[in-house]
Amino acid sequence: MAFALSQIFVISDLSDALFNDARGIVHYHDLMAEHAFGNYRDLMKAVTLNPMMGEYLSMIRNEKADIARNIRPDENYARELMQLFTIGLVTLNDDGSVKRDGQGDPIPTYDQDVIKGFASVFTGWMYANAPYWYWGGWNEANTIEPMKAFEAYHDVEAKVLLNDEVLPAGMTAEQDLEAALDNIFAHPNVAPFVSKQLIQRLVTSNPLPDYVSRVTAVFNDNGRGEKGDLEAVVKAILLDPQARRTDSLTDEQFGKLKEPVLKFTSLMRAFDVLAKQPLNESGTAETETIRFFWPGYDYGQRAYGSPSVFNFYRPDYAPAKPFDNQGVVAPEFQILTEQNITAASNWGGAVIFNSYDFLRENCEEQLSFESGVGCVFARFDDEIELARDADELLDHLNMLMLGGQMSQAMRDVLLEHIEPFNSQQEQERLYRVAEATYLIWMSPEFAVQR
Amino acid sequence: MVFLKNKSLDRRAFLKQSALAALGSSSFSALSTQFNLAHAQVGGAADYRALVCVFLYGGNDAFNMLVPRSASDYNVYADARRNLATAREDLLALNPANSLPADYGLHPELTELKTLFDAGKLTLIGNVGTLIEPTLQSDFVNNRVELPPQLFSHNDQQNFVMSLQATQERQGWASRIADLMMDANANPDLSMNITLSGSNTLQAGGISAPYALGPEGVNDYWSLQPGNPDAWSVNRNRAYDALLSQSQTHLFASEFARTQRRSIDLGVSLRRALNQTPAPQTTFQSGSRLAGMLRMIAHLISARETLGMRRQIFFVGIGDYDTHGDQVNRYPALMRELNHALSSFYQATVELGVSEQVTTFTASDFGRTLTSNGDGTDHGWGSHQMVMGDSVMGNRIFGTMPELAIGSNDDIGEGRIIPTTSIDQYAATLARWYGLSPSQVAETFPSLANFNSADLGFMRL
Repeated sequence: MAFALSQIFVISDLSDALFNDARGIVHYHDLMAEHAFGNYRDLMKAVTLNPMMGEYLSMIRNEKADIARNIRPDENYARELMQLFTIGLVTLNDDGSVKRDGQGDPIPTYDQDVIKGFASVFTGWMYANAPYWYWGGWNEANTIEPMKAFEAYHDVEAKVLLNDEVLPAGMTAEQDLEAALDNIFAHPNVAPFVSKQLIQRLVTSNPLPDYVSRVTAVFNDNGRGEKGDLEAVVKAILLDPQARRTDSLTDEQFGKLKEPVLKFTSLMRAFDVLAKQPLNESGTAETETIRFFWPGYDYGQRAYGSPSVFNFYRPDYAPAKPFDNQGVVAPEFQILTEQNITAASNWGGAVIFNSYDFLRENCEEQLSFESGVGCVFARFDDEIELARDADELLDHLNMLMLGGQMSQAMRDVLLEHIEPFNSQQEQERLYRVAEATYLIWMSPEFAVQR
Repeated sequence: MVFLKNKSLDRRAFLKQSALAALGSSSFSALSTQFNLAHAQVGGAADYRALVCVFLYGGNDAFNMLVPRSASDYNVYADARRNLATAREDLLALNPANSLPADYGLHPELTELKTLFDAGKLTLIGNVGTLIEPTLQSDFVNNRVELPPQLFSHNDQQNFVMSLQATQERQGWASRIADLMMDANANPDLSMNITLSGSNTLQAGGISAPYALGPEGVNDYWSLQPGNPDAWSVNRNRAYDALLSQSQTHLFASEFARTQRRSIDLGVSLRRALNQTPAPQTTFQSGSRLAGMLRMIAHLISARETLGMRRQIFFVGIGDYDTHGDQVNRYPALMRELNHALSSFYQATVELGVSEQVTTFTASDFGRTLTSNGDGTDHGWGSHQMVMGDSVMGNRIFGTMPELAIGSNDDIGEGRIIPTTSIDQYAATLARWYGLSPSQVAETFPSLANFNSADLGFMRL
């Protein structure tokens, strides 16, 4: 859920603005996790005042208009907060579809005056430890605590918000911010806009309109009159009849392409994938940690490393004409390029086959305290025992990796491939396990979550 | 002119069938290699043209890239830009062959590109932007014109620039060109469209998907190593091949299998071609991602005959042009990288003897506001672009340069400038050079008919 939220409230260290801000970004992830089952309105405020988001979308240091210098407030955060984090560009129905006017055209949610209004709202905020407004203490900047207001740089003029609401002149930065976030949160788009994207991240790329409507209803009211209760929303998403019904398993369009990061984490969870990492220069002490190795190796997705605030993929992406014509979207295909699919395949292959002693030794030779490089490999201790019986092994892997959905045709191929290995020898049993695991992990059936 | 056999329908049907068969056999690429050899004896090696799109993601602030130098015009500019203005004495003075109402200069970091401009190898197109029909300030204010959807929104404007379609059905204009011209290439497997920066709307949506690779070239599949004669590799590939060949009822699973297969097969043939062809000797700046991507494009171009390609469209994108903050420091760094990368790429095309056959052009989401938000600029509209190569009418500034006074007839607020030339016209001029006939150009760019000129004249045909 935190990872799903990080794909809505996007920040990325690929931008100059957050280059080398690892600590602040890690804390930003904690913020996503902390609010994952909290209230969306609280999350909106936490994100708005977070200094990493402040840098990423330049709300930090945003100052009021100054006629003498011919400057006006920065529109960046105002625009993306509405377009990407809360309501989107056009008015939506509760089922997530676009509302249309008499001519059949979409109805914009805001215009340039509203952007200017919100741009003025988000003025006057700076690092929590900034001693004065034009502070340039980059290295000492507090990248974790919420930003603090400098009222002298906050725009106190009246501001036009959504639905013609006008904030009166003379409010403080904090008062304006609370009122403006309330104004956005009250917009009827928030529930369908956020609900549909969360369904896409967690369950299926193409939820039926009813499904979105049901989740929208829970977003708007958790049953106790509260709007934005994410715990209730997640529950509604995962327990919805469309998510659970068995005929979804045979539906040709239900589900989603697994994104690279989730493919990796599923491998790591299934086989206790840990990295050995030296703790001192002599290598006499080492630890085991969970880590993605080769963080710079480009397979199209890295948490908090998207190319822009528009995330790794658009919610309405479809790869080619056959998809368009069916009105089906598949966002994750946007990053399934030849280059990325090769890189991701290599990542999984290395983790799986590093379980072979002779390959792991090779990998461990490259361990170095200075570079912090760890050797990452899957542990197949349980599976090696099961591999005495190829059928039993496949039953186990089917359940662990495919939720018991493996087709008979796929099973036949795997069985034919692993049976020739000698079940009496431990090394050969490991071959059985690693070969089967790799082929499943690489298979078209594993590629889709449903 | 390009000579194209009129067989595109047959070819398309053939490709569609192949795609439907989910490229069921890896002998497909072996087949195409034979195809290439046969072709190499027929087609002339000289018949080659490539377009290279350098997309400046985020919205390039081109009003600081090309700046008026005449005293009065500079003062208008400086008054609009204030703390973001580039100092007049730092501008690199241009002396274009065509006459303009004012003198102009390039951003001080663009030293190499200025040399190319002077030598007639680079041209500038003023105030280009997304339009559906010619638009005046009064039309805009009174809602009298059709406008591209969601002006000032990054992804919508990127999509419009790249697709030049306002509808939901989005096919990039480079993809439309490829669909019309796929006969030009002997190799039926490798797409005419190649991207160094992943998926993009410009090349997407057509019959053949763009091929994506990185600046380091094509990675091998380490755990498959197709072609390795060792038993482990042969056996593992055989099993994996069987899995990919199984018919998939799920739409996503079959598309995944198709992509995986294409990646494996093309990876083998492209790696072979790149290994056989030495990389260009021209030095590219190290540490620059843009330079690395353009270097790989030069390497691919040098392998064009081995690959069986006579028409290619390459895409590279580079981010961080969304300069809302710290623009005074960030923009010069962006210009510095662009200057080195583009000029090195030009030199590489000279080295390869294809500087007349390769045309490089810039594009971006939109321009930026003339006014400052304190330390940066916000989303604007019209912007300037650069086109480079020996086939351009260099040392000129095409188009109509806008007024830079805040509140002028070109301004719709805060110095968001209405474009005076449409992206359709810009793209159509490039497409015509690339080889589309006038009627194909009209078909490819549906809004073009709304403008008085379908060819801006910056390319030598």
